[in-house]
Amino acid sequence: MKRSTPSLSRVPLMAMLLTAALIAGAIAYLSFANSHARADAAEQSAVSSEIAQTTAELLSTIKDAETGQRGFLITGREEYLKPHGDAAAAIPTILNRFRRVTESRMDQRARLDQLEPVVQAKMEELARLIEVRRTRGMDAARELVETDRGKRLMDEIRLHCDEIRKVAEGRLRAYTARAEASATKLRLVSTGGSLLLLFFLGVASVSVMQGLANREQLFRQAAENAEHLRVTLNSIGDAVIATDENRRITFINPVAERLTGWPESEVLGKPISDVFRIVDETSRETAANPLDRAIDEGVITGLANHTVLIARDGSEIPIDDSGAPIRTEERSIIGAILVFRDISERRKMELKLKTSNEQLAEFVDGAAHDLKAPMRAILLYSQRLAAKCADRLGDDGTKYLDAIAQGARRTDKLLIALVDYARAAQVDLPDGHRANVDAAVKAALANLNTELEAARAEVVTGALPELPVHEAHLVRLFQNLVGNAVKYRAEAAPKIRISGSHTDGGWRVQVADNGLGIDASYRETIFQPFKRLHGEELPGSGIGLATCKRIIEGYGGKIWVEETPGGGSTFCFTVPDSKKSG
Amino acid sequence: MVEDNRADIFLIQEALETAAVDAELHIVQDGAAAMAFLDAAEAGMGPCPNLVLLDLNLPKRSGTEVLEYLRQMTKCRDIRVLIVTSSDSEYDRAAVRKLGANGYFRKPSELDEFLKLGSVVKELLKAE
Repeated sequence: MKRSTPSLSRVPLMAMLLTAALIAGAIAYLSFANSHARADAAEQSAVSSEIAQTTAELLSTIKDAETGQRGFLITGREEYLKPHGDAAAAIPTILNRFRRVTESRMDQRARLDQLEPVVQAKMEELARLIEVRRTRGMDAARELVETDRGKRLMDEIRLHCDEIRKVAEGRLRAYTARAEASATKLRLVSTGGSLLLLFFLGVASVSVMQGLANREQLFRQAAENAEHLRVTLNSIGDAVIATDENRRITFINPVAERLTGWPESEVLGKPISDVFRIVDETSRETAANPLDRAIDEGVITGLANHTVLIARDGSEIPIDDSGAPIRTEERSIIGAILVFRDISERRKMELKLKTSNEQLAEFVDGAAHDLKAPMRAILLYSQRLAAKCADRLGDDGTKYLDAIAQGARRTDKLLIALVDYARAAQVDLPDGHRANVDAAVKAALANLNTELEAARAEVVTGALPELPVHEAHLVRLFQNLVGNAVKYRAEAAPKIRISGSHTDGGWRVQVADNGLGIDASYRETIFQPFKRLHGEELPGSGIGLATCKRIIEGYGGKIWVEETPGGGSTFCFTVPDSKKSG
Repeated sequence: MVEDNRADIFLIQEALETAAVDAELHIVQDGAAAMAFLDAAEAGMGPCPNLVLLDLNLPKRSGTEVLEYLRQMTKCRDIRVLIVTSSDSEYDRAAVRKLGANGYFRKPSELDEFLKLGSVVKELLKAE
């Protein structure tokens, strides 16, 4: 199965998280800066407003003092001096406060420093006028007033106070504006940032939900796959055992449980050698476990024949087995799988078939042999009768007798062919037996001498091998094949070429002729018994090629016919190097 | 002659007559009878043949068994034996050759061929 990846890629997600963190940081910084700016502005505003107030108070107090002094100057009555006295007493306190308030304002302090001597001078002027009025009378005082010194001082005080007040008020406005600007910035950033954060939160939620859904689906898929695999392996008709790379069992299906006699609950984690014990059917030696080769060499080992599984209870079951490595996608081996099947039924059937084939062959052999004697008697006595009593039989009688002899002769030949056919499959070859094909061909040609001469046939043989086949079988084979080549010849004189070559795992021999050839649609049927392509004009038993097929198949080989290039038939047969058992 | 097939007995007789073989012919029709005949000859109580025409496929005891039995006798073991059989099997030929048969005549299906048996017998008797 292909692994699915989450739909949202990680890179944009990380970028979003980073941006969100930056926004949060910015909001935190800005709100801190804002509150700081606000506090600062408030403090500064307070200072400024206090300066403004103090200025106003100072001015008003001086005015009070002047008003009181003026009343006394005009009336000369002491009670008018009370406001002046109060003001004069208050002024140092006010100035002190003024000095304190302007501590952080160097420019205002500088203005205060300029103001203070003027105020001092004004207060001294007021006091001097009072003193003059009191001691020298109204006119002396008026003279002094008319010098306008008091008015000039007062104007100067007003001027200074106005400036201080204006500066303070300007400051107050500036600080308020700055606090306001900071608040606006904070509002903008926190509103925009919040919106952006909200958007990111939305995207992140969707992505998380998607991721969760994906994960859930992957889990479900994995579970479904595992279940599907388990059900599939359990449904296989063959026994299946899987192991890890240490040959410890990780899986066993019900068929394997039944054959080995070990239940799943007891084998998981056990070494395979404890559960799957196999020996060679004949030698009884421990047979190679195909699983070992799968793990050690990484190869798939095919089905081995004649292996017997020894089950847990000691019973023996003939099996076919095979092993294959389990690889990861990176090709490393992480275990192996062993597949085997009970073949006892097949072995029984094979044995039964072999026995019944042998019995049938014996029966045919016996029957044909026993039929030959009476047939020969009919043949011989009809000939004897024809020879000895020809004069008494007359023409018709001789003709009838001839027909009897013909029938008996054909039956006789058929019986000989039948015996050959029955004996064709009786392969019981001593170990290492080899027959020389060249010698067999020579013997067959000698047997066919009459026919070959009559047809003026030419037989060419190439290099021929020695084959693990009975010589009599080879003679019969070549006698049939060469005999057919001569019998089914075309108009030209038969040219027969016999050759052999070693191919992969065995020998291939071929007999090529330039005869009539065989239509492609008959190339299978001609090897079946009693199937003939010709009638009375070219008599034959119909068993010759069937006998050839039986002989060759008895040695594990194959026989077939091909077309000779340029016309005619080429009969080919193979014989494997070593005879297959079974 | 050890032969169970009546048709063959007549034909063999005809072949011998045709070739004008001058001999006294004793006929037994199964393997056991052949052994009894030979036992009598061994004991001096019956005629001892110069030549045995022996079929292989016989009732009771096979021709091969008779031949083997004969070759183990003391007086009779050198009697010449011509196998006259319908078998063409290489196995049979090899087996009787090993047991010391002096000739092998396969019963043919053509009369002319069959009658040649007479001259084969004549040759074997002459070689004595």
